[in-house]
Amino acid sequence: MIRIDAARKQFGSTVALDGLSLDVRPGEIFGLLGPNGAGKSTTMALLTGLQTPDAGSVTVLGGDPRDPALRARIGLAPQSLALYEQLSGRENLTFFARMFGLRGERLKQRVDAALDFVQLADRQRDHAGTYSGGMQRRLNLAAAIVHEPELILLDEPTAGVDPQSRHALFENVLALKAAGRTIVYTTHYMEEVERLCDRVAIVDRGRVLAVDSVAGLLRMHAGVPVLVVERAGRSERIETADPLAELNRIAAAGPVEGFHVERPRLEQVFLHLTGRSLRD
Amino acid sequence: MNALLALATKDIRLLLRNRGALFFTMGWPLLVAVFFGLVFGGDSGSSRPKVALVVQEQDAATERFAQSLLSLDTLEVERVDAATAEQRVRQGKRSAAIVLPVGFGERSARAFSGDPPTIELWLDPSRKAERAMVEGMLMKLGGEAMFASINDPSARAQWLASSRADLDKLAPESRQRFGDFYDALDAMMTTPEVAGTDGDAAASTASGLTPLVVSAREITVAKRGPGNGFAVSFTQGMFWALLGALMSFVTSLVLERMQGTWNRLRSAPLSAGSILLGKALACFVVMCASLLLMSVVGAAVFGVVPHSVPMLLLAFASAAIAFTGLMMMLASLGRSVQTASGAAWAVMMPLAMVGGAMIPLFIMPPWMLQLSNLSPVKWAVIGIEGATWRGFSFAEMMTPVAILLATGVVCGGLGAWRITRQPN
Repeated sequence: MIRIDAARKQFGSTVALDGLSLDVRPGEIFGLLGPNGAGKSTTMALLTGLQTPDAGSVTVLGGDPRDPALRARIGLAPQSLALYEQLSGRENLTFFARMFGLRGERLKQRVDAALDFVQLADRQRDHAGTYSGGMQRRLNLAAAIVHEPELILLDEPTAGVDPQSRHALFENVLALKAAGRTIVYTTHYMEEVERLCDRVAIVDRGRVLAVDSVAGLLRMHAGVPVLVVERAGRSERIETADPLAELNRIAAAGPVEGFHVERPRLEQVFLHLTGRSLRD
Repeated sequence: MNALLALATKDIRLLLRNRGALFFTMGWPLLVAVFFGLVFGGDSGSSRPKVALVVQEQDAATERFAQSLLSLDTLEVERVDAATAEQRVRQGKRSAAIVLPVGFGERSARAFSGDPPTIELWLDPSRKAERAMVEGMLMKLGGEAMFASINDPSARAQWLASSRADLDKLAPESRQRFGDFYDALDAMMTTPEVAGTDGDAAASTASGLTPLVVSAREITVAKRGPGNGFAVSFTQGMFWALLGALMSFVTSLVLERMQGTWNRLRSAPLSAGSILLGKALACFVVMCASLLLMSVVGAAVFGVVPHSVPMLLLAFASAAIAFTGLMMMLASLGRSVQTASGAAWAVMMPLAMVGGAMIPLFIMPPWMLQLSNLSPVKWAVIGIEGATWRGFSFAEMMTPVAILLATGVVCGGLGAWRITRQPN
């Protein structure tokens, strides 16, 4: 579905991509996880043909993403809310659908479907500028899928939205996957990747540091779970591959006042791979 | 084409929903035009044809006729010398010049003999309506003067005496017949009942007499002057309409990039050129609509009637193309609204100042006129004025039109080239 091979992109003295490579398979939700400035948005720009690599190659849907016919099969929800606030939700979607060549009855059907999909049908006549942040994010997503693309690129789709809207967006993304779409999802929120993505690429300084399923990344890079035990008024942290056996061993030695297990998270993966926190 | 129209429609819709931008594109230019039209004299509230009056011989009859002309309500008459009168007609500042030549008074004293008094009318041949009106007024005044003199005993005695003196020039039998007629007329006019007859009744009894002859002389108007202050101020207002639309679309184009819609559009199966063409089309349509609105208001309310409607449309279209090109170039100069707006003002204000949008071209000193050739604003103003009151021929219109089209193509091409090469 997507193949990026050793892509390099430089803006002035800033290296945005430094030999980035990745493969995305049909029908999966592929996460790009990394801090701001890691190169996620530049990668999205390569995938939509908005940028071309200085070196390396990019193949999307079997061709060059600069090909207009191929771009018609891609939907992009940019990180910024790429909407016209003075147009209604319906007018925004109608306009963007026309940009992708939709006309007549099919245009109307697709706009109706996209509005229903993001649950904005009841506010379709209102100007987008009057929507809440979460509603604007949903409209941003609707504009990306109104032409029924095979590949959907979601660049930080939940930035700045409330938990309720975030949950609604998650449901939308999972519904798109269920409908057979391929989704590339960039974020710096680990919990989103953990919840949604089939595979994740950890990106930093324009390079992919690791690619695998969340479980695989945790297994390979996050280390072992941590057993936290409270006894004799003190708290102890014990790294162990088998927390239950370790807890049994400690309990046999004396009374345990409390305990819990800290499972590895992607944060540890990122820390392990880069030596710094994802939120630094 | 579907996408191009959708792009243009979207931008026009956005402009119509932005009250501030709409005001500065449509409302503000009208206010500027009306305000400065009033400040610079407007049309002095008169729709009377303005004519010059030249009196070439001082005598009582001529002076009486001149005074009757000056007191007319239907004509605005200014008494000047012959050279001034000709110049004013040539400049289009007066519709016509009425010349009372040498001998006018003396001929007026002969009602039934000799040649009738002749009035020369110098006028622009294109002013057919004014010519008919002025000729009609002159004939009416001539008739009134003739019958006034018949009713005036001393004047009557004078023209009967001069008419009798001319009898010697006639054949004997005509001399006898006219002599009898003059005697009968004198006797009748000294009868009290007849002497009290009013002018209209007298005129009806003497139909067939020629009170005067109007001899027309055509004067070619080299360059018309503006018909009134609004003719100048509306052209300047049209510049503000173009500028308002230009600024709106500069802002709109930069905002597309800042808000991310540009990237969304670029991710669609459209070339950057198509997207910019859609923006340019919307800008062009808004500019033309704004100019047409001003033109209609100017003609309907303020008497700024174009010399040629097709040429005015040509001037509008070429000016809109030039300013659309300028819009594209100026939008490429900044990555933020502040930078692009600042650059647009910095470029447009000097162009406007030397281009005749602030100071009318016809009062500029020669060096400034020379400098103004570099400003596309000047050619927009010249084109619009050419079609409005300068009376340009089609050939004369070609210079501003060609320069404006070239400006639009070069600036638009350069701007589009720069924009498509800027990083997303």
